[in-house]
Amino acid sequence: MSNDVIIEVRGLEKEFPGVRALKGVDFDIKRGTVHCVVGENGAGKSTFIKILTGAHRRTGGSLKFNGNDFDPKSIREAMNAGISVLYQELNVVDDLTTEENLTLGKEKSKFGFIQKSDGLGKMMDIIRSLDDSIELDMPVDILSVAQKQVIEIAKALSTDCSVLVMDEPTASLSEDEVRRLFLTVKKLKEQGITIIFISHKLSEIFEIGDYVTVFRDGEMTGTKSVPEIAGYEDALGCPDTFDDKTITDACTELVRLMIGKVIDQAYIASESDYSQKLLEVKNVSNHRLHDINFDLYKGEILGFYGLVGAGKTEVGRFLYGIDNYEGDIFVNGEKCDYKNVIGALEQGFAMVPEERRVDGIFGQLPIRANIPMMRMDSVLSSGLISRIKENKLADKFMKMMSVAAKDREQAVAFLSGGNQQKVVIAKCLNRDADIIMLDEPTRGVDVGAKEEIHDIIRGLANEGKSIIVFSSELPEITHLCDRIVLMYDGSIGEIVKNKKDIDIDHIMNIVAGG
Amino acid sequence: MNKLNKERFAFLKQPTFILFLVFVALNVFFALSTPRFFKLSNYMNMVKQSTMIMIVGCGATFLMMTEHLDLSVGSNLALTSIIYTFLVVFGIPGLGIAPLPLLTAGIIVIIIGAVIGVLNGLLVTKFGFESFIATLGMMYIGRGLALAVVGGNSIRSGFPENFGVLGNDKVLGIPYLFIFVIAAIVIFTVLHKKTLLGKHSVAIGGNKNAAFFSGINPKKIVMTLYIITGALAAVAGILTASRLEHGDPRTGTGFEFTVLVAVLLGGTPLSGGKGTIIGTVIGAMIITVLGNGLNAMDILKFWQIVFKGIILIGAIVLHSQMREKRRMTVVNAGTRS
Repeated sequence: MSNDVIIEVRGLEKEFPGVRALKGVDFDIKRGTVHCVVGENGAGKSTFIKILTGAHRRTGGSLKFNGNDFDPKSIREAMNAGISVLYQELNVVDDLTTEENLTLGKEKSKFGFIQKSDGLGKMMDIIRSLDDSIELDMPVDILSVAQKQVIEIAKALSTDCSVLVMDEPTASLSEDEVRRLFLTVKKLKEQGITIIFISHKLSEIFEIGDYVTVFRDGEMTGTKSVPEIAGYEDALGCPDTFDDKTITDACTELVRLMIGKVIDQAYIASESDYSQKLLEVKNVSNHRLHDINFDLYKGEILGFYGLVGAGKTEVGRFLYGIDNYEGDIFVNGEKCDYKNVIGALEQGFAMVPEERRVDGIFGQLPIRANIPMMRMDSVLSSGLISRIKENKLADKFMKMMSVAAKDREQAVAFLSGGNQQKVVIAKCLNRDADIIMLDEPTRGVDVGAKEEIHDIIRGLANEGKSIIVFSSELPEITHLCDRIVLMYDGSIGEIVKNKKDIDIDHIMNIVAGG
Repeated sequence: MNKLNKERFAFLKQPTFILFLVFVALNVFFALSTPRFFKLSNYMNMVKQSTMIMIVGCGATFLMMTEHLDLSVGSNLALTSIIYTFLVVFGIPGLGIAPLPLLTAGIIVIIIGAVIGVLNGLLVTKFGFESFIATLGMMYIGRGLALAVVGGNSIRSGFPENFGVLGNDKVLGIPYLFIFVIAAIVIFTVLHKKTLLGKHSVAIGGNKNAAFFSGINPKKIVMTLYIITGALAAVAGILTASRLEHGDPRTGTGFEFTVLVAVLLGGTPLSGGKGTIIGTVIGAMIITVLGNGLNAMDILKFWQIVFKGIILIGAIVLHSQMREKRRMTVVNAGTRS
């Protein structure tokens, strides 16, 4: 093994009950480089990071750090060995000062009284070299997110860390702050620190990355140097900064690695009635979205596709009255001005949310009580809840969706993911809305139930309902949707009509920013 | 630019300072409304009334900084107060032990108070109970035991002659109670500002994850704080018995909530992460002045309770608004850079 490899991953496996999160991963991380790790949600990148930083234990394969076998049992053990993490949620205490945060947990004390720490000078030097506007006696809560990150970085570096893992560090930073963070990263690299950089913003890789590893479905689908992915033979002759065209092409290549080969499931067109426009969205913008325009017809399934962070969920949120927006929404040609979810429901929208357990089910309640939740008057009889009506309703939907449960009295929390999702969809259908939005309708659902849910969605469209599907699974989108809205960075890149042999490369190019 | 000037007047915007102004305003109001209020004797009286709140409030503030409650302090005070009285009047008749000297009895009940703290701490840190539930349970247990010890009766005679000294006498013109309070404030302010216990308490309440990743053991800290608060409640129990010069198992009913209100008024939020001893002290002063002043104005007790509620809600609004404002300036600072 050459000396310039700091982390060597061989056949790394991680099994959770029922799920293989990592299926034998091999790659090397070179000393003193910025190594980017990308992949869609659930691809395995965070599992890998958790094993590396001691939050999880591996179940197979090997991991070598500085040439020695490395199997940390705790985050502290990994930290002591020299691997620190900069988490997405900041771990500073707002009501302590910079100095108190830097020394937290490492204070020198005499009889419980805090003494002046000696390591402070070193930490201060680190902070000064990264951001000279931070003073030791500043309370941390007046600092910006980027400045708090600097404090965390300084804290990590003070424990002789040689590998710094940055988990989506740019997610909550302004553009200006991202610039400064990148400068920081470059300085750290100059000091010989290896940085593992996780990000959903692919273009960032071409600004600071040296290498990139792509995860998909628990496997490593490629580890390449950044020049290589940008189309250069080697670092020689490769420019310091790339032009936009090169970056877009390279991002498309990364997206291909992230998504893999799309198995073309037959697309069956639904019986859309393109003479009846049900919904029209005009020039909608908000804090996450820029100039969104699209329309939806009766009996149509409209799909929203984009990488994580492209803004799919945000489209659902403003349509459902959760987020504020500027622009216009027309339903049946009339301008709407609802401001909350109740208004959206009255306007004829219904939503199957992305986070089923958090936003979808009432876990402790039986199936029978879950289904009427979005339209209680469907089970009322002279103003009181009628058990007979509840039972009838539950039986109807459980049969229609073939929900596998002991009986209608079973608490929803104890159903499988697929059956929970069916209950959520039933709850939504009972609303009898004209426009049904489904955010990641088959996430965490097994293959069989997935097909059933797809059939249900198709059936609804054929009954004349208009459907909007938000999904990060391209096969689902190409299988199901009549038209596909491709999103990139909060904007609509293009709206394409689905057909049997749709140009997947083109889709990948658009969602990669082309 | 005028950074120095800004810093010099920064205290004006501190919630604690505004609270102090509220305290002063209440004093002026009552002094103008009734001639009975603004008198040295009345102020001495108020010092005595607020002593127990402040002493126990010192521990409760620390607990609340870590996002924990102690609802058992009122019962703890009653139990330790009644046992203290019992020990100095009767000793332990069952074991044939004669009435104990004040100091011995005092040490014993402080240990008892601390043991109640240990139980609270075990329930919370070892068995994972919510602090609300654990200490609510302990509140009933303590109150029941206090009543059981004396069969529901109070002890009104047979005291040694210096029984009431701590609660009523002065040394060099200063009431003993006052000395106790000042000592508690100084000790706990130092604990807060200068020791690991104080800093780690703030850290645990402020950001649990940060504390965890920094290698702080929250259970140890919370346990320590429950023990301290239990012991403080026992000290307050001894002082209460001495001040009233009798032992009453029904004393300190509702005391836990008075302490809670003082701590909240003083700017320690239920969610923890911040707080000051001096804030709690001012909170206790406001509660005391309010009760005493309304009394002096001959306003019915019922209305006093209503006012207490209004002041509490008003203070929480004040604190949360200050926080909001601060956050706004942070956002602006962020975009400016």
